[in-house]
Amino acid sequence: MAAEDVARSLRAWAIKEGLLAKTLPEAEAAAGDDDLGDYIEEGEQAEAAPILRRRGITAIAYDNQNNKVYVFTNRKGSKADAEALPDASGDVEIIYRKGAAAAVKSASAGLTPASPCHRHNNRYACGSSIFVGNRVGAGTLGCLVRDANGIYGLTNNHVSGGCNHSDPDLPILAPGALDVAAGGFDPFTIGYHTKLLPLAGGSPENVDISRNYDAAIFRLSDPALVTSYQRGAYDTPANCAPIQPNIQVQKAGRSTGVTTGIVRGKMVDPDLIEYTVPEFNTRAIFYFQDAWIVEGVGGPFSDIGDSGSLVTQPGAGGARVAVGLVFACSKDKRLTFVTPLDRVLDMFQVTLVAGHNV
Amino acid sequence: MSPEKAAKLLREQLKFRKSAFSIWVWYDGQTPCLIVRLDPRLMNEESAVPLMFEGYKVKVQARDPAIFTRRRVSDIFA
Repeated sequence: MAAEDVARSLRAWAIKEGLLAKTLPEAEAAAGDDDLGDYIEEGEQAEAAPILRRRGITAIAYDNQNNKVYVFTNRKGSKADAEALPDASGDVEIIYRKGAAAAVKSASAGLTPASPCHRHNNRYACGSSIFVGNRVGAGTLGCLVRDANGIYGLTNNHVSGGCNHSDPDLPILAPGALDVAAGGFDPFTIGYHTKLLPLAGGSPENVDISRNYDAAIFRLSDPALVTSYQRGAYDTPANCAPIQPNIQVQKAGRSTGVTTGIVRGKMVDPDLIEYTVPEFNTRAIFYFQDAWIVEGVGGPFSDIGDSGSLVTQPGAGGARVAVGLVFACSKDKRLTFVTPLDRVLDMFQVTLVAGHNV
Repeated sequence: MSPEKAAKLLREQLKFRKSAFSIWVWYDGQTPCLIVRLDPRLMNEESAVPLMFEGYKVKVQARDPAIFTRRRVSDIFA
């Protein structure tokens, strides 16, 4: 067994799983080559995929002379990652290193994760990149919701609502323009801005911040184009419930994919979040008084670009329930701030959509 | 007394300007504790915060504002 064979098979698997950005036409042909099962067991593959998706594979290299394969990732891994990832295939050692791909920076290049978008059942999945059509940026489609008038996408106000500035019927693009790249997803209008929960800026001693929930909905352009599935992981739960502390949660997002965290803290009075709106030459401070704090397990629960991700946790009887929307993170990425979903759904007078094109 | 109620009571008792601090209930471990997040300019007055309140341990942190998790073009070149 040569290191090159293992490396090629690993690369084909990574492309198929959406872990490696497609950069060359040969990537399409390579996707069908070899069976990684010849080199790494399926159980190990299943364990490795979410870790490598979160870390983001930038390149795979091989050294036939010394029987080594190198997997380069955007982010450094933890000890837990090292124990979970396969470190050898037969005589070939597999080594993981942090290393960014070479790039010429331009307006269209940048720190796009390996897979900002996900298709499930040939439809655009929740947990994928979206943004307003008239600006360059990226956030996450949290989930689908409905009322008597139709189906909508739900995300943060600062993603599709332009932090209170989006005009009604403004097109929302998928993926967000920041994630449009050669060989990637063709952008399309996923919907039109419909309603937001307005954010009141300023000190709580001066303004009423009691209704500050960072959320917005947009009417879908064509419900047949999207699915309620959360990337490739699980369907949006049909039910919503209040967040419970000290319980594990999961989310599916544009930047870090599917991650796990634990609910550690609750704001009991107003706390502030900084927001910079360069498009409108504005820097604002918003106070929120009803949010939960999640600590990531095995890495950050969220990162910049995961705004709007739907947070779920096990409910009564173990069935998954939807509990919140990611809207902010600490500057060191250690903590994620989650707005309670039950309040958001109540204020929009909508219900969750599950089982849609799954 | 629930930790949320204790936190609200503590908030009433602390003498700082209301927007200069916030309180979290923190659930790491067996017993919840209270975290008082102070404006960094007030950290020299942290001794005004009690170490225990209504049976809950109280910790003090300098407040470092969180940021919105939306990706912008300017993030690429930061």
